Amino acid sequence: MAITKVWIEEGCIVCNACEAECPDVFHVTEDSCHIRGEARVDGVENENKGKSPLKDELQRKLEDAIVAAAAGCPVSVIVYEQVANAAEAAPAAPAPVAEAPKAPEPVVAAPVVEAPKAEAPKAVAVDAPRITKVWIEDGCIVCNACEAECPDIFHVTADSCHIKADSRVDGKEDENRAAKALLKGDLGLEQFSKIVAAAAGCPVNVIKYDGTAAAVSAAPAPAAEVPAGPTSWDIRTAPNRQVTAPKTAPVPSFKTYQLEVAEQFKADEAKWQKTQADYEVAKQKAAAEGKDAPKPPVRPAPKKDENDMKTPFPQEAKDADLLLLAERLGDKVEEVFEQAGELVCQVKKEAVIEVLRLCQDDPHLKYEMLTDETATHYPVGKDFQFSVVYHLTSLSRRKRLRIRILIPEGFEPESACALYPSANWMEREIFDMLGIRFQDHPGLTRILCPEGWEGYPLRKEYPTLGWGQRDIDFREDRSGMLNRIAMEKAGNLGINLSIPKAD
Amino acid sequence: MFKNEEMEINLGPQHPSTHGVLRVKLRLDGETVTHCEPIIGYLHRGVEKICEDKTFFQGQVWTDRMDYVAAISNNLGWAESIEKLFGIEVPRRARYIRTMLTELNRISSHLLWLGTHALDIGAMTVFLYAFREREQILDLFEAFCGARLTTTAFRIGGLREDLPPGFLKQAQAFQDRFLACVDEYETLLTENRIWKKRTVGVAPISAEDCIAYGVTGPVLRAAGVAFDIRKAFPYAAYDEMEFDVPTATAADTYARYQVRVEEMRQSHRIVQQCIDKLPEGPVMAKLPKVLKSEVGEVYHAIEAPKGELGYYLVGEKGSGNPYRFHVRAPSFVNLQALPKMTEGKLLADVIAAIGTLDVVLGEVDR
Amino acid sequence: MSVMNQPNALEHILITTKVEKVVNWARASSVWPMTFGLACCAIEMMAAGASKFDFDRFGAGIFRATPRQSDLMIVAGTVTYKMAPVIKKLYDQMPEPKWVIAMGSCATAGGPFDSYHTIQGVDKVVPVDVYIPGCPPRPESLIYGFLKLQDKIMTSSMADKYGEIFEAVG
Repeated sequence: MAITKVWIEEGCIVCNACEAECPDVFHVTEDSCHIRGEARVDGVENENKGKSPLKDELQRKLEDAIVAAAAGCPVSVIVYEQVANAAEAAPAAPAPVAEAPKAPEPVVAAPVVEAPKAEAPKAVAVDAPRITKVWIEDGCIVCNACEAECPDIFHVTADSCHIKADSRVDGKEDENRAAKALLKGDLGLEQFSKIVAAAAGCPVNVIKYDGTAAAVSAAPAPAAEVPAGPTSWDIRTAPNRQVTAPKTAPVPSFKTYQLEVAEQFKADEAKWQKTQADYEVAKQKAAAEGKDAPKPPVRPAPKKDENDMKTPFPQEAKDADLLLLAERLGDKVEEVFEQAGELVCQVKKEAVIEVLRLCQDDPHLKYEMLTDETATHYPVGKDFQFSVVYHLTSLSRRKRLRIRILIPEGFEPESACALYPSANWMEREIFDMLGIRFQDHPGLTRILCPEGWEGYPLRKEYPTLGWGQRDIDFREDRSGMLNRIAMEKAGNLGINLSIPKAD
Repeated sequence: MFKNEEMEINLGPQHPSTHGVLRVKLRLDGETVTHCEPIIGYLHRGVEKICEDKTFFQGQVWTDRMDYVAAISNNLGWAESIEKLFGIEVPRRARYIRTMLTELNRISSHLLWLGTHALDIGAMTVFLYAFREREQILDLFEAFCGARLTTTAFRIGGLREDLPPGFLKQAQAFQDRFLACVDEYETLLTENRIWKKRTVGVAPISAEDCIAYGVTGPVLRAAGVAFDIRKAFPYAAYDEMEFDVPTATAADTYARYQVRVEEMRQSHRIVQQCIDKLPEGPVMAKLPKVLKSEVGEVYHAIEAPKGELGYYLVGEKGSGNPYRFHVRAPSFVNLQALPKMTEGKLLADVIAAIGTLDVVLGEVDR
Repeated sequence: MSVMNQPNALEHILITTKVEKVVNWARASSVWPMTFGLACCAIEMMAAGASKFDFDRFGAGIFRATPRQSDLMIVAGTVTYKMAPVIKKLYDQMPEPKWVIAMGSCATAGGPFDSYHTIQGVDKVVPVDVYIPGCPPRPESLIYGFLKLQDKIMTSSMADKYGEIFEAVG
């Protein structure tokens, strides 16, 4: 493997990440990233839009570094051509690639949408991009996105977003629309990437900023939306058919929630300890220098949520049904909790039929009806890839219960058809949509998609537009009927259509 | 000379009595059905997958087109499940208006069922009568949201707009003449000998089988089980409404007809209460323009005209889209009981059975 | 005195026209559509046929349940991958001359269902004569679309259909 060429597409945000990764090839200037002249056959230093090849000796040596730099580029503008064997790319002289026996395929780094790395601008102090002022235009929709991104500068109130007082030179807290007060100290440098990310993430684009030349030129860089695709048209890799993989496996769980709360508490405590220690040091220092002692720190009150429209968090199980299940099943139960008033019981995947039978038969539970059974795909789950949920309803007791199992890819849970005949089609649908097979199912075939369909549509890696099945042209005369009619009619008119026309 | 062998025939996917694109594979011994297998998926449009790509606000448009006969019920279930996921409190006036529209929608859905079911069995007139009143209800919907069928009537947190001026008067005008219309349908059918011959004792399914197959809605109630989600797990403003849950015990096609006709009267009663007791106040809860969920899953079900319509949503932290959007469609589950209702019966009864289940294929296949 | 005894008597009882025109007039005035409801639009198609809108006024009230007796296929709803071969087959079963109306945005171009299993418009399956936009189109729109189809039938030439067939086989 070797890399023959590397070039920079439009849209570089001058983040320096590539130069840190591979300084021999990349050189980040004020307004864009360049490919160094020393590394190129033609010896010119620019973005290499002309696609001049890399020097022979570097092609193999720097391969890993270039790949890493391209993968780390936040806007995916680094594009390179890679060949399996360096010898195949033999015409190392500026011979056009098209004449090479095997045209190397340009490889585009997967678009990774991440905020530019914060440490990069810090390293190059003076001409690093720097934001001098930030303000909020009219039209904020109070979505909290900016505060989540950069809490040191933005503060979202009930009706608009504000620039925090302690980040501004004038010490006022408002939209900073009229005053356009400067940012304090090095905040514009430290928070550069966060501000840019917050402005980019603003759904109504009301966050505006001003700064040094580099910072402003960095601003309009959009994420590379349509990366240059492979040279040959392949329906599965067409840009609009690509899927973005989820980053988390959102399985609500009381245990994880407890852990999160505990961690948050610990982090808060540590931060408070540090603030106090800092204060002590500052006090002693001030005392030694004979200055006034600094103000003692105030512990920030826990952040009150102004936006109370939040998903209800998992709660401890208090319902008698859940407690009964937990008691009867012992270690077969992984977790019981309540969320949004719904009872959830997560059990071991092997024991699900036993649990369902208990729910159906036990005189204290009596869940007669399996209302719904469905599954969800979690491609990034740690030791599971799917969850299967069973929604049980007790008609006599007016209660609902959710049984959940987490299963890895390839695991075949037992079918619930014997207990609840209604599971028949639901399990067929799960198989059709997600590819989970059920043991002992009376007829596990596709139900919605036709037989012979490729792929499982509700998996996360399956693109919404499918793999091109829908683009088949059905107008071709498959039955041959149109052809036959034409022959017949033509025959009546005395024309022989069966003789092929000479081209 | 006389051969005794079974014949296999296809009913659908293009057949006037399958209410869309349902295909039923039947094996017949003479006129008797020995095996019945519904084949679905001819209208599978990938709604669940599409909705995963859309934000919570956008998804409603696709729910309209699932049970297109009762789009407002679908809208209500969708809005309420998302409100449950975000813990949003809907203003009382909005809940009343939602209840009123949903009940009007139940009437229109039952009217369509009545018309087409009677048409299938051979009574043409009822179809024309039922559509006359249905058009009046659609005019009300049009006054409210501008659309007749695919309404997209609600918003997360309430309603987009309050009722338009004159709506209540228009609704009252409908209310005043509707009960007489129901009586009119009944004079055409209830004691009609041909109708009774085609429905009494036809396509029965016992309460035990209903529960085993997950059948809900009027079919379950016609088997004697008084399970109605509006009473069992009240939502919208149903806890403040007075109404009865009609049931029957015969569990046949005629009993389901009686239950649905009585349900129309009860819906009429609820609509009247909504008009009379409609509270003043805002119709929209205050909520941000971008909804970002936490990790959580909810299942919320409402009593749609066809049965239990449930929405299962999984929220991802900080995401404005549902991670998973699943619809528990009543028609899908009810249709499973078709073989149970028709095997061993006559071929002509299959038509009655499909009609009496009141399936909508957009919802079966999603 | 009878008409026949008047001068130019034939002009009073005879109309001279082209055969093609008479045939077209007959065809346009009694189009028999096929009941072919796929999805939501089918409900509006039913409403168009029912009491308030009364499609029968235009000679198109007799919805036939079999393709062999119908002239017009109103594709009312979403066409899916699984359904497409069926539509193709039904179209092939209809006798010539035949016309197709794509009713609603789904049949026209896939509508809101931009997904893996939805054919983006019925014109990928059968040739379409009239497209009616709307999701779903109101009964009035369907009637307007149908009147447009009648116009088309009136202006069509008998040679058209044969020309198409010859084209199909090259």
